[in-house]
Amino acid sequence: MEEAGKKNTDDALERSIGMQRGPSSMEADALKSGPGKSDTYRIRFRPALDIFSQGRDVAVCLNELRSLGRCKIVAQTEDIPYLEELDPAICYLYWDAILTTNAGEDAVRKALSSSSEGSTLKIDVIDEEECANDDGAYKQLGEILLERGDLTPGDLEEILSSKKRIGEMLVEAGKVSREKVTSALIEQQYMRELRRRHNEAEFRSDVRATARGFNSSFNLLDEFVMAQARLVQAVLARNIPEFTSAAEEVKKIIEELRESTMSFRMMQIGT
Amino acid sequence: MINFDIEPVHGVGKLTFEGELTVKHGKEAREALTRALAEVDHVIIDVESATEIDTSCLQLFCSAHRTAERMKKKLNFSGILPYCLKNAMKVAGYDRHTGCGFDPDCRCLWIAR
Repeated sequence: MEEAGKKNTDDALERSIGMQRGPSSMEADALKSGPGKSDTYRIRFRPALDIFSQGRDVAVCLNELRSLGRCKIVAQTEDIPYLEELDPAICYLYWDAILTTNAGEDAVRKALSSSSEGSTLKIDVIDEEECANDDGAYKQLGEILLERGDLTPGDLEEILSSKKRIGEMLVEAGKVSREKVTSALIEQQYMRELRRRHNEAEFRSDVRATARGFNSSFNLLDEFVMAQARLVQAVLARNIPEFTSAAEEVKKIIEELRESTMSFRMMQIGT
Repeated sequence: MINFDIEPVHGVGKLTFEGELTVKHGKEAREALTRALAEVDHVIIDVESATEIDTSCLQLFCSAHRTAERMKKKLNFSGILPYCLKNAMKVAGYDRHTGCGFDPDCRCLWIAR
């Protein structure tokens, strides 16, 4: 019975991640990042305790963070006290976020620094575009929690000596709150998904090029064809047998090259 | 405006919040939640007529829920949640599918809403 309960807890944690990564939203988020080098940041943002009474809206900062790129934000509620101890004007919440953006770390700081004085912000780059892992793998849950400072190495070793799932064991042992485990699992899933997409993009059979680069290649090809035509004409006019066959050969190859390059501009209709 | 009605037979109380539910009304809302939990075993929160809900309000409901769990009582929302609450949850990163450490029975207010 107890085992079943634990399994449900862990499954619920896994499910929570699965539900947060619908393919459509991932596509939309990926588009937000736009061109350029994107880095992925792990962010822990703790606003000043009195942010509510200052009349500032945390939601505005969080939305500003979202506007920078693909982003997953998790509210951490573990510090909220019981009603009799709660001061409604104090903010007991803090937030973990995973953000992939090409806007740079300064933009992240700027988005959250406007919240209020006295807030704390921790930003770590956890993935740089050019350093993406080849096999799409990402860190284990224990590693993520260690890096975040939510878990000590001693506690991790102690927990790893048994054979259950680490998230479940850490929560049961009271070493880490369930919210923190969930947040770390979200990071793990987010990064695996990001790297999987990165790998897929690398192995796709078609390529993407900028319109300007493409047009420039076409223009160069046109000039090449015209120069080649003049060269062939000059060779044929002089009737030099050694060059004639070579000129014919060059003409044939360039015509093929031209045809195949022009086909790049054709779009299939009805597919 | 906050109304609290008790259904004496079943020990169920309905707490209705209307209009703006922000930090300005935080103390009043906390008192109402405290009183409701003291008087009945099952508190139903009705926010269908709320027009504005901020992050401080989400925090207040969280606190009320964990207080109810400690008292072995029930606290949940009634009916369909208004857009302002759903939006506040989404923006504040409250959309979740697992409860917190204070919620052993997985009755979290925010699960799959």
